[in-house]
Amino acid sequence: MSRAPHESAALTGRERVPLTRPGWAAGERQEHRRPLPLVAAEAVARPEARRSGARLADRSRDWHRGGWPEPMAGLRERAAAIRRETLADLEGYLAALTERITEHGGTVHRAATAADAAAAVRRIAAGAGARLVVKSKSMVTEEIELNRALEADGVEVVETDLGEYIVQLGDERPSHIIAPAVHLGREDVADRFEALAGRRLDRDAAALASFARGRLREDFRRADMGVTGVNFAVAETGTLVTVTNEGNARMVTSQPRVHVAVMTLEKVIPRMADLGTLIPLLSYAGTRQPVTVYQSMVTGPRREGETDGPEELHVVILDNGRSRIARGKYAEVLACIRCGACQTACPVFRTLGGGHAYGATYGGPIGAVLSPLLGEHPADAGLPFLSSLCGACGDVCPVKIPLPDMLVDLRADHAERAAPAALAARAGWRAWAAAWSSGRGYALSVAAARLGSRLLPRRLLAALPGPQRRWARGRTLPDLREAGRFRRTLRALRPRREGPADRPEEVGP
Amino acid sequence: MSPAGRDGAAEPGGDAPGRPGGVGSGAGGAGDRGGAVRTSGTGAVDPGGASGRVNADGARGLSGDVAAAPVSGDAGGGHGAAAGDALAGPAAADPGGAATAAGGGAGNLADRFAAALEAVGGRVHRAADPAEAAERVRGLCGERPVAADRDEVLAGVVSGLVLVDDPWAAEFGLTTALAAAADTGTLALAYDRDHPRGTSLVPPVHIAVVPADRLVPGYADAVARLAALRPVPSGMQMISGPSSSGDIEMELVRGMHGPLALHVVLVGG
Amino acid sequence: MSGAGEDAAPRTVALFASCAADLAAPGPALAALRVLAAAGLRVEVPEAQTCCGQVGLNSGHREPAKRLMRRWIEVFEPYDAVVGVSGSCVATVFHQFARVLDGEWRGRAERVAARTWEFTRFVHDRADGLDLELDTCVTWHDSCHMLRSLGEKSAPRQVLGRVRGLTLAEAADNEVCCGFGGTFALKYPELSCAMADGKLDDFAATRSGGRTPEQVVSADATCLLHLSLRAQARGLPLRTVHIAELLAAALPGGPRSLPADARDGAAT
Repeated sequence: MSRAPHESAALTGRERVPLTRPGWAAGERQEHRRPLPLVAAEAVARPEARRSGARLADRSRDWHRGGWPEPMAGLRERAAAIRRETLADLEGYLAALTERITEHGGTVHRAATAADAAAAVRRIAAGAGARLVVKSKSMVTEEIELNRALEADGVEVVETDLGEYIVQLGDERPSHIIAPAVHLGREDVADRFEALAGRRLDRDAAALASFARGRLREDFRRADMGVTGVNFAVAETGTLVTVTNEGNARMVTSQPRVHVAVMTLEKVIPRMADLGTLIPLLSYAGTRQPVTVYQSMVTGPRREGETDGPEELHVVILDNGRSRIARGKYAEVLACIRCGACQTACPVFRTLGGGHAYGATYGGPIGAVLSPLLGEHPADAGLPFLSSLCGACGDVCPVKIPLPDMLVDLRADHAERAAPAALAARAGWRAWAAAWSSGRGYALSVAAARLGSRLLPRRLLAALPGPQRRWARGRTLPDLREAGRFRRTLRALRPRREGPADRPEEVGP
Repeated sequence: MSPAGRDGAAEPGGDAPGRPGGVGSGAGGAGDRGGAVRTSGTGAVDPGGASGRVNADGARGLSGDVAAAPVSGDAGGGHGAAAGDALAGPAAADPGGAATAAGGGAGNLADRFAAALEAVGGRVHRAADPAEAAERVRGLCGERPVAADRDEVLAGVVSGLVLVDDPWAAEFGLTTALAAAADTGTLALAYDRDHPRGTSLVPPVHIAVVPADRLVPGYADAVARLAALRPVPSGMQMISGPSSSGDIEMELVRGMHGPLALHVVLVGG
Repeated sequence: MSGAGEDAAPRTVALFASCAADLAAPGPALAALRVLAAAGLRVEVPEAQTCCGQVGLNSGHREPAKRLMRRWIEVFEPYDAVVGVSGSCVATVFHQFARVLDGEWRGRAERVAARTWEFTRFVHDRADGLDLELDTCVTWHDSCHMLRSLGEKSAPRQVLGRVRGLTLAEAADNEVCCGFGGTFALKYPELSCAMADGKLDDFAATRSGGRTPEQVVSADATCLLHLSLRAQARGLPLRTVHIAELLAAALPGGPRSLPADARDGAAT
C-alpha cells in the first residue's frame, strides 16, 4: 500500500471512485454550456432521472396535496412577514449583525462578488495554516465555488453532510438544495462507497450512512478549519444559526480551531424570537419534521475558560448582486429560506431527475428565478423558460415568494433584452397582437391556420429539422382543420344578434 | 372575491376553504384550499416513520462504524458491544422506567414531551427525585466511560460513574438542559466553561437529566428561554432526538454524525 | 356565496370561448352553450372576442399581450357575467390582468374579473337544475391554473357528482401538471412528453370500485389535447373530454354516451 496523499481520512481512496456523471452535473460549473433544451432532453432520457423523479413525486404527493394545514398556515404568514420586514431594511440589520458579531469577538468580511468571498476564505485558511477543512452543507459555498478555490491552494476540503459527501466523491454538484444526492439511488451510493473502501459493503441506507459516519469522524478531529453556511443570522444578538439533522454542523463549528461561516446577506433576521417561527416552518417545508434534529447557534468564538469551540470565528457576508436585487422588483426572491420545497414540488425539476440540468448553482423554480438575477452565467437568462408555469412552487413556498409570477416577468425581461436574432420573434408577437386586436385580422389568422393545416402534411412537419421535429416526434400533431368551425357553427345556429359585442372591433392600445 | 375563485366560500364543508384576497392578489394558491390535512409523510426524514428497523440499524451501525474508521484511537474499542443497551430505541422494551402517564399540568407537559421525543427516536425515562435519576443513569452507563458537564442538576447523578474529561474517550455524554419543549421533544442547551460543546455531541450516546419544571409547552418557548440569556452564550444548541439523515433515497436513517441515541431522564414533576 | 349582488341572476351572460375554440377545439365552447341553454340561461357569444393574451404573456411578450388584454376587457366589460370554458384563460383574466395592466385598466380589469366565472363553477352555482345522466367512469385532471390561480378544486367534483350513472375515479396525481405549458411544449418537447407520460401512467393505474376510467375530464382543452396527442402517439386507448362536452352529452336528448376525443375534434 502506498502512502495516502490525503490529509482527509474520508477522502482516502477517492481516486478509485469512477465518475459516472454527465458533464453538466460536474462539480465545477461549466463555462461552455450546451443549449438548455438539449441538456434537458438528455437528462430526461436517463433512467436514473425516472427513478429519482419517482421518489420525489412520491414525496411531493404525500407532502403537498391539500395545501397548508393549521397551524403551519399561520406560521407561514408570520414568516413571510418577518422575511419582508428584514428585506425592507437589509443594510440596517446587517450593520447591527456586524456590530454584534464584532462585539463577541468574531470578524466580519463583506464580499461584493463570489470571487471576493472565495478569496476571503482563502486568506483565512492561509492565515490559519489550514491543511484540512471540514465543511457542512452550504449552498453559498457552491455559489462561490469554494472547494475549488481552496484546493488550488493545496488545502483538502471534505464535505461532511452525507449527501454532499456522496456527490463530492462523484465530482458532482448537489442536485437539490437540501437533498444533494437526490438524483442517486442507494446502489449508486454503494458503488461509490465500495470503490472508496476497496471492499464489499452492506447496501442498505443505514449501513451506507454508518460507513460514511466512520469515515468522516476522524476528519472532524483532525481538521484545522470548519466551514459552514448560515440558515439565519440574528441581527439582535449576532448569532449564527445552522439547521441540520446529521450533527455535522455541530462538529464543524466546535472541533476545528477556526470556524468560517459563509452567508449571503439576506440570511439576516431581526430577532432571536423569530426562530420560534422560522425553524419549525423551515423544518416543515423542507422535510415535514416538527423541527430538525439540531439547530446550532453560534455567537462569537469560544470564550475564556471554555474547553472547546473555535478560537477564531470569521463571518463572510456575500452580496454577489443581492443588494441590487433587493432594490428591484424581484426583491421578494431574497425572502427564500432554502427549504427546497419548490424543487420537490416542481414536476419539471422531478422529470429532469434533479437540478443538474439547470446548469446553475440553484436549480428548480427558485433557481430559475434567482440564477438569472444573480447573472452567474449568460445561459441562466433562459432558465425562466424551463418551467411549465404550473404554479406548484408558489403554493408550497413557506415564505410566499410569488415564483410563478416572477418566472413570467423574467421571461418578459429576457425578451426585452433579446439578441438581434430574437428581434424577428418580437416583431412576430407584435404582429400577433395587432392582428388579434381586430376581428378581421383574427378571422384571417384562423383561416390561415386551417389552410396551413391542410397544406402542410403532418408527416412533413415531423421530418423538418430543429425543434419542430423534436416536438413532432413525441406526439400526434393537433388537427387544425377544426379552425374556424366554432364561428361557422355559431352563425349557422342563429341570426346575427345585436348586442354589446357588436361595438366597433378596433381597440387601440 | 371573484366568482371565478370562490371555492369553499360557497361550501364551507367542501374540500377547499376558499381563496382570500381579490383579483390580482399575490401568491394565494393551494394554501387556500388546504382542507385535507396531512401532518406527516411516509418515510425518510419523517419523524413519524420511526421503526424498530431504524433503531436496530443504528445500533449495528455503530459497531460497523468503529470498525471502518481509519484510526479511531482512544475511544474506538468498546463502543459497539458495550453501548448496546443504551443504544436501544423506543421500540425496545424498558422494564425499568418507561414513561408513564401522570396527572397535573407538568405531568401533561411531560407526557407530551415523551411522546414527541420518542416519535423522533429519543428515549424518555421518569425519575421521582434526583436519587432515582442517578440510579437510572447508572443503569444506562454501568462501568463505561462518561463525559459529564459540571452542573448542579448533575451533582447527585455523577457519583458512581466512570468520568473522563475527553468526550472522544467517552461512550456517554451527560448533560442537563435549560429548557425542554413538550410539543417537539426539544432540549435547549447553552455552552460555557462548565458545559462544553462536545459532551452532548461527540459520545455515541447522549443522556440529559432534566428537571421537569424546565418543561415548556412549545418550541418557541424554548427559544425564548435561550434568547433571554445574558450575556448571550457563545454557543446554544437545540436538540430533538438522535442524529439522523435522509440523504440516501430520502430514507430515514437514525445515527449520523451526532449521537446515535438520546436518553432524557425527567426528574420530578 | 360571496360578492355584492352576485346572488341576483346576471341579466346578460357572455361566453368567453378562448382562441383555442377558434383554432383547434370548438367542441367545448359549443357544448357549453348547450349546457347553459338547458339551464335556461341566455348566453351571448361576443363576436369581437379573440384571445386573453396568455400565450404572449407567458412567452415573454408582455406588451403585445397587454394589447389583447385591453381588448378583452373592452369586449367583455359590458356584461353582467362572463363564463369561460378554459380554466387557464379565466385564471389569466382573474390573476394576470390586474397584475400586469397599468392605470385605469387595472381597475377595469379587477371589476370585470370579479364578474368572470370558470364554466364549471358557474354551472355549479348557477345551473343546478340540470337533468344529467351518463353511464361512464371518468377521472378528473386538475389543470394547473384552475387549481392554483382560481383555487378551484371542488366545483368539478360536485358537478360530476350530479351526473347519474357517472363514477369519478380520482387519480393519485390529479394535481400534477400535464406538461403542456403553452410554448414550453415546443421549447422542451422531450420534457413535456415525459411529463405527459407520467400523467398517462397515473391515469392507467387509476381505479374506482374495480372500474377503469374511460376518459380524462378537465376544463382546459389544451391540456386535454396535449394528453390526448401523446396517448395517441403511444398507442394508448385513453381518451379525453372537456367537462362541457361531457355535460352536454349527459343532457336529455344528448347522446348520453361519451363524446369523441378532443384530438378528433369534438362531436357537436
